[in-house]
Amino acid sequence: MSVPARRRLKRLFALTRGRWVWLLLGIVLSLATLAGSVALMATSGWFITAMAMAGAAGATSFNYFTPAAIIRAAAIGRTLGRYGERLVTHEAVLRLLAGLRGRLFATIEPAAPAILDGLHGADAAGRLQADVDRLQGAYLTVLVPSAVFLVVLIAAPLGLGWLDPGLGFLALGGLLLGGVALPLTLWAGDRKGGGPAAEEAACLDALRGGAVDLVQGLPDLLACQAEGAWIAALEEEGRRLDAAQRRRVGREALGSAGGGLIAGLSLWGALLVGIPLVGAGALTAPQLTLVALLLMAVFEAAQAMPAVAQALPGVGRALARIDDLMSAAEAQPAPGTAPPPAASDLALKGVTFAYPRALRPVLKDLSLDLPAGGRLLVKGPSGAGKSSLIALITGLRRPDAGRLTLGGVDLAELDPEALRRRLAVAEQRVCLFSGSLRDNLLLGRPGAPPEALRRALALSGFGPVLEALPDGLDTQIGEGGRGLSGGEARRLGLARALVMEAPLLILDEPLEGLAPDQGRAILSGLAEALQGRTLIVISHLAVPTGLFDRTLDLSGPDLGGAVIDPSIGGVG
Amino acid sequence: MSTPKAFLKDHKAAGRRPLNRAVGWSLAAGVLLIAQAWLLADVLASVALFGASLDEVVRPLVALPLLMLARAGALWLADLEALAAARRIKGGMRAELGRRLAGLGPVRLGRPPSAEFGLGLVEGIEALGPYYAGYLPGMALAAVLPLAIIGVVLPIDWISALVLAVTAPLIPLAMILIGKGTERLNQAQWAAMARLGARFLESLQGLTTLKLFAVGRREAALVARLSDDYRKTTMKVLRVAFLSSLALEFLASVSIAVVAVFIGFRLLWGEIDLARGLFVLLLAPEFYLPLRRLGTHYHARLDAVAAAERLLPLFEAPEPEAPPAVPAGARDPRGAHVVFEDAVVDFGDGRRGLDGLSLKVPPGTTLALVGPSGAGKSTAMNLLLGFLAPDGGRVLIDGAPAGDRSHLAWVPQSPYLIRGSLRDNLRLGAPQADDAALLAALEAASAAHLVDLLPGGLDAPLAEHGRDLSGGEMRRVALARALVRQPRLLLLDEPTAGLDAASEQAISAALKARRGTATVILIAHRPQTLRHTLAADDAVAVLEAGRLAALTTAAALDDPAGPLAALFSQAGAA
Repeated sequence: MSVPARRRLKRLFALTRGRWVWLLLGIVLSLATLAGSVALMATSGWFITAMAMAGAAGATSFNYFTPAAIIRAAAIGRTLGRYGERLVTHEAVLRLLAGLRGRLFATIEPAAPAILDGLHGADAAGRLQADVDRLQGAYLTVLVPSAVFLVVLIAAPLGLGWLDPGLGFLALGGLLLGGVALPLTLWAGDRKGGGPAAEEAACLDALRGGAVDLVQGLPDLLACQAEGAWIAALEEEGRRLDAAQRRRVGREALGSAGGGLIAGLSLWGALLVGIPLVGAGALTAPQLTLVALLLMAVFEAAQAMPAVAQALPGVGRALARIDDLMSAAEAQPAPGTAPPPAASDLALKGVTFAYPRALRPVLKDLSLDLPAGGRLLVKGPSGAGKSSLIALITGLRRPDAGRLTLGGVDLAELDPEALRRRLAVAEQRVCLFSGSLRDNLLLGRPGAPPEALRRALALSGFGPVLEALPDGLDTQIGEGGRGLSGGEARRLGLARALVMEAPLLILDEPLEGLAPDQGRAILSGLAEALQGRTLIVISHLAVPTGLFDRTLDLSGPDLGGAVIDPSIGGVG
Repeated sequence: MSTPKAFLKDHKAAGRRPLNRAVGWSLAAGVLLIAQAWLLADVLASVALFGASLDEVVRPLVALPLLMLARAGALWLADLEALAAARRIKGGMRAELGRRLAGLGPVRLGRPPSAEFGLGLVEGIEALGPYYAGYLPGMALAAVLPLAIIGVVLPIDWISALVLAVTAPLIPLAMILIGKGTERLNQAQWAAMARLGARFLESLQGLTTLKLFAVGRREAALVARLSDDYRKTTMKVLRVAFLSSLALEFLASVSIAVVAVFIGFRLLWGEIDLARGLFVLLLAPEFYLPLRRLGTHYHARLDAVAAAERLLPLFEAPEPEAPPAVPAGARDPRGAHVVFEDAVVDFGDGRRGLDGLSLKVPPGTTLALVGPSGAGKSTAMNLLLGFLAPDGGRVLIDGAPAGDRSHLAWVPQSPYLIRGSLRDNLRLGAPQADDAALLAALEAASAAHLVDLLPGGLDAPLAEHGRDLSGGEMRRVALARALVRQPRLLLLDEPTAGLDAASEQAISAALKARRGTATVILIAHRPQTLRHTLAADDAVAVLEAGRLAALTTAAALDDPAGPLAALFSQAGAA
């Protein structure tokens, strides 16, 4: 086994540690349900045939109590088994999920956001979640049916072989054909990343990309008269997707039709083997009916296997991606552990920084001294590296060259969370979480006293917004809650930073999305209330410069930035 | 306003034939199954009662595998036909959706052009696939096949047929009752479940914010705990939701058992013969199968209805009329002749974008539109671009109503660069342009250095939204893209705002070089834009409240009593 494969299996075991009891219980119940099905059909067949023979022989009494009881028990057992199976397997999946999510998050958190760069493109979070979902879903799509099939593969030939070895071999052959050979023939080609499913995913990605371009770039496309060609290209992409889907569904249909055919032919084979045995007296006629109906029920387990073979490569790829990500996160240098020094003087010496795979550095040889209590304005056009500067100061990113120090200590040596408790950042794109306004305000300082909240709300300009809300701070936002406008969210983001009352306050584009007068009033009020704390304001809009004691201009042509926010090309 | 269900039904037409064929093949498979069960029962009964040898049952034994083969083929064809139906319907929808998006244009679309919206359209259409390929044929089959089985069983054994007929309607009934009950009982729990389920994605998306606020480690513990809460809530819902499948399973199992036991006793009493009894027993599970499968297709229906709800508004929007074809007047070689005649734009919510704008822009002139925000600058631009049609008055380009975009080019404030190479982007508006023309346009837009900078030159793939370019460079690429079209009318939206000094100069120089070959109309928010891009005698139109307030020249910038001085001192330097 190759090294990454072994590492991935190890990872899988580590991720599922402590959940095996539930996983096994689910499998056991699935088996019990199948056993109920088999017993119901096989006993019914045997019972009917035996009763008919007894009737034809003119027998007046026949012990029908036992088989009738078995039939009733099997019917009830199958019913309850199915319910229990569904509950337990879902319980197992959800337990698996909790463990997976927790362990994954804890592992990648220290290395984010750098580790997520370019790993999956734009929607890293969404795709990571999809991978986690696929991995936990593998229990239901892969593990349970495989385990059930394995048991059937051993038990059915043994049981039938006990009646007659020929029947045993026949069952074994049929099960291997339908549960192993057919799935492998259909889907083995896909293990190396090819196959219709991968093709379909690629086509769907292309179609999505084209549709996003069409919607976001609609004004540009129309003005260029390129919309017709673009839509025609999208339709072509759609047809390619449909063709890939057709190939996949064609194989799926072959899998289910072929599985049914193999099950039927096994039954037919059992008749060919069994009828002479009945003639020779080695098998009774009711037993032959039992064998026929048992084979039909048992083959359900084999007929689930093509879907398993189909799902397996995708699960493998998801596991590989998650393992790569976690391994990369674990390989990161350990973060510093030193507590931050008392002094809050910030200094940058010869700092150069480029995003991975960018053509040019965003920041080049940047030096800066900001003593405690200083007020710095950073200005420059969009893409000049203003936001990257924040990422460096907060330790989210490390410079490619040069160093950043707080109170004379290199940021890399400091405990990152302790460092960030000294900094409060009002982000340009405020990211709010589902929950109450209070939860969001207290994000960085869970036990903040009410006065700190009041001060922050007054300074940020969020106070008036709050007064208009009937539920006040208990107003729910996010998923299933109220939406906030861009300006409201921005003010809430500012308030959330102010609640921390940290020695360094960093505001990223605080004026964007606010009426000019309002923005300036908020900034002036803030500057007054700072009382010796350091302030860094980043803005491409004009800011009353009297509030600051130094300015950093990043608009030099050399620093023309490398990363542009994917801003929207709208018409306004 | 049509409903999502009507929407789904209306679009079924495109796939009706393959859908009918799919149902037909499924039914054929069902008939073959019935025949197969009959032969099997016959063989088993002959062996049991008459001790038949292989020779005596050779005919059914030869027929059985042939029937099985035919049935496998029918099932395979049914699946393919069902998919073909979905494919036709989806293809038609994609085409119609594209046409409607382009017809509406960005302004009438009336929503922020987010990536989610675009993805939603693709996924919405994809979500309809399982409905047309799975749910609809499944429904047809569930309605017909059980009836066919009852029809076959009835003359053979009316008691068993009765058992089947009585239990069958109970199954969907039980499912609906329990499903409705679950919905009512668990609204709050469903909501909690959705919230907790979405929370992990939120934590991943907000990871940077969480770290900024020094709570990354706390969140890691929280993620595990919330996932556990998610499990508990979900299981509470599922325990009830699975009751419907319990009821289904119970009815199916018990009625199979009842059929078996009834047949057994009547066999003992000699009331029916074994072949018939076995035949009925073999068919009993198949009777319930299509009904049980409906449960799995039910989700496909829910998804499709939700998707249809999202798609519906776009499909219902009235398609704007194409501007009446009026032959263009004589074309002046110096550029387009633009006329606003009492143009009115009503936003429909009481606001007016333009309130009788009249303005003549002679061929070859450069004109800047200025005015406070809301004065109608963007609306005037949208009229020229054909993104809006005037509700009153006329907008004429070379004597024809605006709407035909063949002779204009546009440089938006935040240009959108498509996925593809630099060449793809430059040729977007002129697919026939050769490399020499592209390089000349880049040169004119002072962006020639990009060809050297980007690995691969013109073939360099621009990362998503041109991430490798600065804002100024993106604007210069957009300018080059516009120049490649050799427009008679060049429109620009605040061409130099937020740019570094080098980009600002480059764009100004390029505009001045256009003079005499195109009419140029630009929106300016800042006095710097006018100073940099206009010559002293270029026209400046001051708009106010949707009307022309003053028509002057760029020279008025230096006139402290002129209309421009008042405007820009009010607006501040922002």
